[in-house]
Amino acid sequence: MVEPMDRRDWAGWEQRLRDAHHQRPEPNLGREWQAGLMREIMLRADRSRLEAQARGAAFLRLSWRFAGAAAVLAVALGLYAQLCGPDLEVPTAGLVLERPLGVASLEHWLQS
Amino acid sequence: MTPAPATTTEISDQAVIARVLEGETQAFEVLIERYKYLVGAIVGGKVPRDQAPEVAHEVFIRAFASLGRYRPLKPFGHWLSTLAVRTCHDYWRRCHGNREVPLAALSEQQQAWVENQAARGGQAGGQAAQERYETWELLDWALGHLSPGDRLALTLVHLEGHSVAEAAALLGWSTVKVKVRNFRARGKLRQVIMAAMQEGKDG
Repeated sequence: MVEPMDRRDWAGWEQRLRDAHHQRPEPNLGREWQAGLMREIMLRADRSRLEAQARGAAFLRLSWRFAGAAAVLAVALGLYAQLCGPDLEVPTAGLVLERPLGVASLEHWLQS
Repeated sequence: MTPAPATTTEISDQAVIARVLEGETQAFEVLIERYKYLVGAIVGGKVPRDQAPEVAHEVFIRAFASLGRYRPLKPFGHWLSTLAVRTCHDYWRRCHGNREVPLAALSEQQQAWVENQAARGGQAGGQAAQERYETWELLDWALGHLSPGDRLALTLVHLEGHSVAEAAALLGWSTVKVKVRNFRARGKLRQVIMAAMQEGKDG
């Protein structure tokens, strides 16, 4: 069983602990420490710069791949439309014959 | 055009930070030069002396890594202080997790000193340097019994005299949490030191 401590005694103890804490010596952060810190910071900066460059290059490669795939898809769709699509020339010619003025006015509107 | 070299007196913190963020990493040394004593003072009072340079190193590394997230709503020194306190908290959490905090009983010499002090009612006596050293040892030993959060709350509010609101801002806690932790930690500290004295009397 711990004996009760006198309130004044404990206040004295607390004050001593506080005083001792305030008088703790500060760590030695000299030139050597600073040089070591800067070395690590420069290394980290270089590393993050290289990582950013690598990320950029990877993005570029991916973009080119997407562009290539999109071009192949466009050519394939074009060929499909050309070979398998409905022949629209006859209905268009029919429409022109039916309403020639409508086409002429559209042309006029486009040129204006 | 080559940028002018960063000197410690002319350039504002904001300008230095902007230069670092633009890729002029070397300019970060200006911030280290300006704030190393502030960080040293914060860290020195919260971690063991032999670990303080390493923790201060970590504070600046973290500051560099998160410099892009710094917003000049408050001064850079204040932001860095917050970072330093939280790095100390993380240090103790790591130690606590690894069970690196020595919780062994006081050495015979320390025990004798505590007993001697108890007999004098906690009043300071002669041989100030030696006594101060012994008090640090006792304080560190007693703080080793507290959880990392309790330890930081007690150190900031009770030992260093920060207000509860300041401590809450530094730790990123609510004021209620700081009050509760500080109160609990004071009680535990008292209990630990009293138990050591009792042991001294019995032994």
